[in-house]
Amino acid sequence: MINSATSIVKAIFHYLGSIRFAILLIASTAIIVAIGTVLESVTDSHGYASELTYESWLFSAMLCGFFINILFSALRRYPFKMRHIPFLITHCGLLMIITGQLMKKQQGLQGILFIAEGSGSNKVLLPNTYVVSLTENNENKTKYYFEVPKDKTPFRRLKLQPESPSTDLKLTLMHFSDNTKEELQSFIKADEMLTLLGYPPQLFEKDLQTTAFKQQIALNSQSWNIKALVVEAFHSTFTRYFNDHVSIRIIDNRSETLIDTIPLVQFFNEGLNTPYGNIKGRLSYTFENTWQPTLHVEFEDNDDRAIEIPLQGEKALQNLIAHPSLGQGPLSFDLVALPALLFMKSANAPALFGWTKDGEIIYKPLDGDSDARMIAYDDGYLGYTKELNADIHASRLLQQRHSLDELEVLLMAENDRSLAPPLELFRQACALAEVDFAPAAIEFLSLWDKEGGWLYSPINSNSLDLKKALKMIPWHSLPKNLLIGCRFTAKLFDNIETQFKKPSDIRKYLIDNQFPVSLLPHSEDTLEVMLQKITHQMFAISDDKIASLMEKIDSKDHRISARFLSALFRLYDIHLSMISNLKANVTDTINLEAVLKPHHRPIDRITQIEKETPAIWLRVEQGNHKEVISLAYDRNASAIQWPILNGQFIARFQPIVIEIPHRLRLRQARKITYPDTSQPYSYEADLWIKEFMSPVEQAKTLSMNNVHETTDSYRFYLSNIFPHDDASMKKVQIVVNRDPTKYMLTYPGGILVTLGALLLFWIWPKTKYS
Amino acid sequence: MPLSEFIIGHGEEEIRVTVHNFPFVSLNQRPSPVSQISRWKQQMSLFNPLKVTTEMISKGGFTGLYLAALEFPIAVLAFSMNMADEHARFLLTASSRSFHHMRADYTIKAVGPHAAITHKKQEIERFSHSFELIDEIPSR
Repeated sequence: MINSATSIVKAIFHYLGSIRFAILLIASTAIIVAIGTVLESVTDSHGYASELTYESWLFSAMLCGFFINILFSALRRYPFKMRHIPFLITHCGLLMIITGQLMKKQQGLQGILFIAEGSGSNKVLLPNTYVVSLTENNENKTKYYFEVPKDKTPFRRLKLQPESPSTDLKLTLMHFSDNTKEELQSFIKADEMLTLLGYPPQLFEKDLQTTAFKQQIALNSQSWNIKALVVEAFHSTFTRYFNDHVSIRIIDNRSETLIDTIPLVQFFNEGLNTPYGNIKGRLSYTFENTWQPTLHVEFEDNDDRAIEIPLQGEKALQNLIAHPSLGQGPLSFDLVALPALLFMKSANAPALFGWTKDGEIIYKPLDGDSDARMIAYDDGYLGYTKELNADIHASRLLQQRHSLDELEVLLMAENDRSLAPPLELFRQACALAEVDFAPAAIEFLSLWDKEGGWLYSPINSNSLDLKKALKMIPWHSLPKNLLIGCRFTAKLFDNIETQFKKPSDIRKYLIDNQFPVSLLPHSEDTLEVMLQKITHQMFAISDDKIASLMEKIDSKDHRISARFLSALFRLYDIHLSMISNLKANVTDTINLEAVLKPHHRPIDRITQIEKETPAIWLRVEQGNHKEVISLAYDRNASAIQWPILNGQFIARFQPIVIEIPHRLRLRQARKITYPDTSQPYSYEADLWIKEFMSPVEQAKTLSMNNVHETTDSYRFYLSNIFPHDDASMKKVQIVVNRDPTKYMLTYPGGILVTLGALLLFWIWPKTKYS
Repeated sequence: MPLSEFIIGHGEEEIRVTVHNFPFVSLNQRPSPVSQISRWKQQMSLFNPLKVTTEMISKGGFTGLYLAALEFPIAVLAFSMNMADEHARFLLTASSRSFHHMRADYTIKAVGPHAAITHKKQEIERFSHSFELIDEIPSR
């Protein structure tokens, strides 16, 4: 019985030390390595392949098998003889190498260290390890690390890492998901609620036919109607709401009276009868890079008077007419409304629509729009919000139309500098008439704009001050050719303006009246360009000869002075439409803010495990406070941390952090390019490296092929630099590697194997045969 | 007033290297490197774009611009560097007083005759690149 047991043990011992077992191990290893290679190429994932092969328990078992095979095959030679020495040296070396590898797996270090230029760190992140970090909102920002159980079993308590200070915090793992989709929700929560900071959540309603508003919010010192809607098509719903809630105000420019204010829906359907004919409106939407809604007003009997009113953008709410430099036309149109915001969701992405009190339309997409700002309150302890900004351009336009304060400021500012000659002339006139220059100039320009015309012929009575100023214009101080130019231009335009409105008519008139052919405006010129050219030519050809042909005009008549002055203004491009353009850059902004919160949804696993995002659901307890949170895995431990327990802590789910006895400080990271190209040749990082026990700092430059190794076996590889350009501060990713047995086992083992092989195959046989 | 001034060479070969610092207490009050460079161009009449190069640079936790105007009788090498926003933002919220002293941008400007600056260009660049805070900038 004992003999048979002994023989079995012997047989096993011989088998484990046999060449057959060695061949089995080598063949199995070759198969595993081949599977690993194929898996890596098929899945494009080193992580997936290594998890199934090189990092599996099977591979570690094979290494142990090799160890046993080599050890037993050596022991089988016992008792050892002289001829066994090379064999034993080789096997001893192999055993040392395998032991080194097994110990490296247990005690070695492979981690990542991130440093920004100017900063330093000795904290290494260990990939594919899980820990929850909590930072307390106190002066020292105390950090606590809780280890996630390796088996990820739910309802198990997370263990506080021994290095962390003690605390009464209790963390329990509720659920672990290997792959999760993280969504940062702000304005729209759980796909069904609208959340605005400071207001209760509002459920998204289905778009029914009613357009009544029930809820208001305060924005920019105004009350805004709001509504959250699920719609089939944005534009049709928005148009319905816009037409129902916005009214149009029609103003007679000549008499400065309000003709009527009617809802847009009525204006579009029925139109309106005005002293200048029947008018009707419609809304259009065009897409040129962005959405451009426009209100069109058409005169039934005159196409030339059609007005376009952009409802969004730089020119929002301006009454755009075909020929602005000829005055603003008989009617102008404003929109009036209670401001409103419509949050709409359709099959496409969600979007914010709305209108201001002046009818300017607001439109903002709500899905990951780039101009939304994230705001952190108290470094994240009080949470985060997303802020959406929408520019409004309209308020300054109404100021322009209803009050000319800004223009007054502009003219007053001009007073400090040298004025254009016509304005200077008018300022002298105002001084002589003892009238304030700015108000008189504003009145002149605005009346001219209201009453229209290339030159100004006062229809309505001017104020006494303006009349006095016009009568006192010191025409004698004007160079003679300019004065003649004023007269000549006024005379010519008396005929042109009253009879013709089309460029072709004017050109024909000039030809019929023997206007010099060489000076004729081009037939393709627009009306404004043609009138501008004619004005300039009138002044250019004005001299004494022409003056003698003209009848004497009484320039003390304020109407004639006004006409002369407007001619001179035209020569210098001074008209209200030109001045208004200078002020087109004032905008106002409305800001909407919503709390930003993460939402995690488990999804199917993928083979590229490097791209998976694990997440955990935790119950956090401290005293009577309890909270359940979910956190997505932050591989680089650099993303934002989420507040818990009423802002007492911020939390992050990240890799384990260990501190190494070397501190690295990054001085500069750079991309080296081939000469005269932007093609990278190498990446380099200048570092200060300091061992904790040593007072000396070493200056080192790491590059892709230049690794730094310390005396205690830490190796630092430069793995990545980001961003690559010099416009912003750079950060580096350094791979930290440590093999503690390298000098004790692996390298000496390698030397022994080499020595043994030399003795075995070369020196020993020669000695034997000799 | 410059923080410090160094003289390289003497007489007609003299190069004057000045270092200015600009402490800040908010992100908005910091002059941008672009405005500094424009001011220098204005001051020294460095208007020929073919003779003036400006390149972006980042080092030691600062980002900015490097101006090289060598093809002038009085040549200029100048660096206008602002502390990176990420660092500046952290230092503005840090409570330790020693961190407050780190909150500053800086400029280094070397002005001298064309020949002298051209000859010493690499040394001046190395001098500028050696600039860094004594203590590392803290990070979260």
